[in-house]
Amino acid sequence: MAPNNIEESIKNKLEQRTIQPSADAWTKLESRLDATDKNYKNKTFFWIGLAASIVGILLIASQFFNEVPLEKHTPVLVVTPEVIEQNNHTEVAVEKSNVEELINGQENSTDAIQTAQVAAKTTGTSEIKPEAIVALTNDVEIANNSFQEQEAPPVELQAQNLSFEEQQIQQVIAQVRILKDHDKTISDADLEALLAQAQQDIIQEKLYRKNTGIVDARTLLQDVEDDLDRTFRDKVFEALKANFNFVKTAVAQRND
Amino acid sequence: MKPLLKVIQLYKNENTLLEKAIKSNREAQHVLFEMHAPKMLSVCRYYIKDLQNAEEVMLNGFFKVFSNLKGFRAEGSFEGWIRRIMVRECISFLRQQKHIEFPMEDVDFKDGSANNIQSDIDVAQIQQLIDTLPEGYKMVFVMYAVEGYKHHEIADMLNITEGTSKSQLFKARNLLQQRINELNKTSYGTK
Repeated sequence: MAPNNIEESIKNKLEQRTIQPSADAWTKLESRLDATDKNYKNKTFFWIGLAASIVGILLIASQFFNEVPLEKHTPVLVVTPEVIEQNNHTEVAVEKSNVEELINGQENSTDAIQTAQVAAKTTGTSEIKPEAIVALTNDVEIANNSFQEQEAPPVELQAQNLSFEEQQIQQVIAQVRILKDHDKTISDADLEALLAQAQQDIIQEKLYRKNTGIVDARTLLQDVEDDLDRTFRDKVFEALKANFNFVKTAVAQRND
Repeated sequence: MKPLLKVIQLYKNENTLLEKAIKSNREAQHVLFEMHAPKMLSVCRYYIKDLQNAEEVMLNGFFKVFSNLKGFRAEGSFEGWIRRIMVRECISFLRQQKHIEFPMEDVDFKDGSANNIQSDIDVAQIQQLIDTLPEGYKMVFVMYAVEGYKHHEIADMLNITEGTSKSQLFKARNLLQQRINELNKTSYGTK
């Protein structure tokens, strides 16, 4: 038991003791802690930066891959004129199904027209000779009238059941067929003009429906805004161009 | 009631400080340091003779405390957790300094019979006596008699057998008693 008494005494006396650290003890410890925190933050920033870079690369890659599907639309337009080679009543039904594919594949038919325009551009060359091509707008109108006279009965029967957009598309196709018959060639620009005209007609029809005599306010506003945007954009470009030339001239004169 | 309320108040304050210190709040860490450093330096001084070295080891211990604060579980006291870290740091330091010897021969036991004498030696003398013990004796004695570790825990921490731990304690006790007796004889002799 005695050793325990002594030990108990020793323990109590030692445990009561405290020794005050030196004045700079905390300063030393603080500087070590600061150095560790700095290293930790640097490492954290490194890993965050790495993660952000990987995310950025993935986004860019996904954008790159998303551009591919657009090319898939090009064959659709190319196939349709080929069908016109056959001068047959069934052509109209086939064209209608192709048109419906176009329409169903897009949110609205104006997008279909735009896609066709883009497709015409992306096909690159004007190698559309095998398919019928329009020479001039005037010729197209005359040909259109003649075509309509020739094909009036079946077209009229179909037109009653087709929407205005489908009618426009059929009209374009018909014009292309006539040109094929006339065996004329046309540039991409003319083809674009033809498609643009059809698009404009569709937009106007949307604005003011002749059947009901009602003006669609929303579409009208959208159309005006598009025009304004275009006008505004052109104005901005012109202003930039003018100011740039002015600055360029001023700097050149100053340097002299 | 008042002492109990003071304890509760202190507990809440320490918890708040710990939460802030975990988030690397320097002020909170400084307060915790000021609260526990004097006691911890005394603990380090049990094992390490030189006060400067003892303080260096104490700062190492606090660095590990604040670096691993998230690992502290509120199962025991915060002071107890810090203390365990300090003891491990002291053992590590002594191992780096020199190999800790655990002498198996009895060291100069002349008169171990006066076991009932309760000496009036002060803490400074106690510390001095402990400093004179061989390293192995000292480590086991302090860890067992002052820190309250069990022999199997001491054996794990010092990488020795339980048998060695028990024998080192026995020898440490005898030697201490002997030296206390000598001190008492000296003091009685001068009177």
